[in-house]
Amino acid sequence: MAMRFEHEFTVPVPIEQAWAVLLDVERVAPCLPGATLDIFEGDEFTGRMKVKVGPITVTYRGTAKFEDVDKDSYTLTIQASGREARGSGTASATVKARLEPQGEATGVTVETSFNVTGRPAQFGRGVMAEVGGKLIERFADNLAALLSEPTVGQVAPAEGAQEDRPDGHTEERRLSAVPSTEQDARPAGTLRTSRTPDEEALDLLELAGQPLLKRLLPIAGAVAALAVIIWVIRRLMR
Amino acid sequence: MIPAQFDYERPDSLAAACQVLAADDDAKVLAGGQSLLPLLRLRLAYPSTLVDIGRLPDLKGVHDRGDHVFIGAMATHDEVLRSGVVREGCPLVALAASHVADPAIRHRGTFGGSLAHADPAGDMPAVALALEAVFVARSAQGEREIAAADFFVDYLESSLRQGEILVGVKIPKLGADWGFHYEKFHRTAQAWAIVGVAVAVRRSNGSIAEARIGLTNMAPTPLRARATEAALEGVELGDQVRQACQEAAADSSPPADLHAQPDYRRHLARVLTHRAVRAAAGSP
Repeated sequence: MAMRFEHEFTVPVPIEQAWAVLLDVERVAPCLPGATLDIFEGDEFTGRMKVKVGPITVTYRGTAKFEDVDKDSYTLTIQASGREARGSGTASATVKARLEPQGEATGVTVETSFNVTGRPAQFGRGVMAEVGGKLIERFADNLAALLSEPTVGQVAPAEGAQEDRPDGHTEERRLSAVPSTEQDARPAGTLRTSRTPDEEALDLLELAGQPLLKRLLPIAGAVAALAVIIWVIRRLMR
Repeated sequence: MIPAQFDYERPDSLAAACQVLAADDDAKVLAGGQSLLPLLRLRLAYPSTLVDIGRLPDLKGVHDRGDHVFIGAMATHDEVLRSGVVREGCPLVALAASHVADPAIRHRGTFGGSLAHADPAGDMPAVALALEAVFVARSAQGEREIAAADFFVDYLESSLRQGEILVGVKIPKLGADWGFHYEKFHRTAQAWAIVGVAVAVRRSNGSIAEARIGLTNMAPTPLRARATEAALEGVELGDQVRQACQEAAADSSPPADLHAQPDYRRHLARVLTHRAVRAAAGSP
């Protein structure tokens, strides 16, 4: 089941600034309600996406990467694909963004097409069309809000430093978004959930994690018990 | 398919059920299970706990309460369509209940369940909306009433909060000068409505004094056909009714699926509304 959506909006910041933010995965990803960024390295990032509609919950795990990043024409494409965490369905999306200078402001065009297979796609009467349309609507709204933030430079000092150089190379900008290991206990990435508290409700990753934990707990208990027995036996055998 | 693992609770009192629900964000109410269990079996839903409300006495039965009929959330569709109180006080509900799925489902599926599930393709939501029903919900914080117009929020989403249980629904009784009809279009007898139209019409001297129209499956929520309702006011039975029904799909956003495209659904809404209004008004 394939769908296409197009959104256009104008943000009141210069094109250089909007472009820099657009390349900052760490800040763009949370614009998608229910999305969580796990790891990102170079052009590729790994994350999860939780979709919840009434009683229905679907979690996708997958990767996304930048393609055709063209600074001259201010266009970029993000390719994303994922599999259901608890099923065999798949989802994939292509997001094409184009920026256009409009005086001191910037015109943004976001073209999204996505495709869903598996049970969620078959279920009932178009759950995914309903949800997909809404998700992308929210994504575009959040992106517009993010790009409009006037204090872009101050949000993260490391990023601000990079953005002070208008001729800064795009590669550097992207690298600047990777947190250093000193700052973050998690070595290869960072976690950032959705932007607004309301949307955090969409992100119920713990739900998927909990049953697993429940299953693992008895095993962990058994291992601990075994360790104690071995320790006792060793003490006795001395 | 076998559902994912979940805990099962069957509290004996409404208060206890509210407590279990309030304590666990991922708990889900189980009524007749005719919508929830398929979702579990398809592994589209993963509740941590199912709270079975099947034994709560407060939720049972159908009661005549003077100016309205109170239908307990756990009353089955079969109970509703056979109830003398319903047939007398709010015949449209009985009429629509006889169109819900098949007899087996009508014996298990509940009136409250199909409303709380808030499926825009379900028959009951549009009926409740057209009759301006009032939903009674209980939580640990107490009881509150929700107007039908505020109850259906989005696709499969109602304004019930986590920890709240639908206790029942008050259906205002309409006078003897009202006529009713439910028109449902589907390809197989037990299927969901491709489009459904619930109509209540107040007749007066061969013309329509007032009309209320609820549409099934014409948007992410059930919908009132307000434009047609307004156009029908004071209209004499005949060609003018057909004219008024041309507005039936205004402000709708029907889904596209295997059964029908939005254009076709809009066409159906116009045709079915005309049929339903004529039938409700007792016009040949």
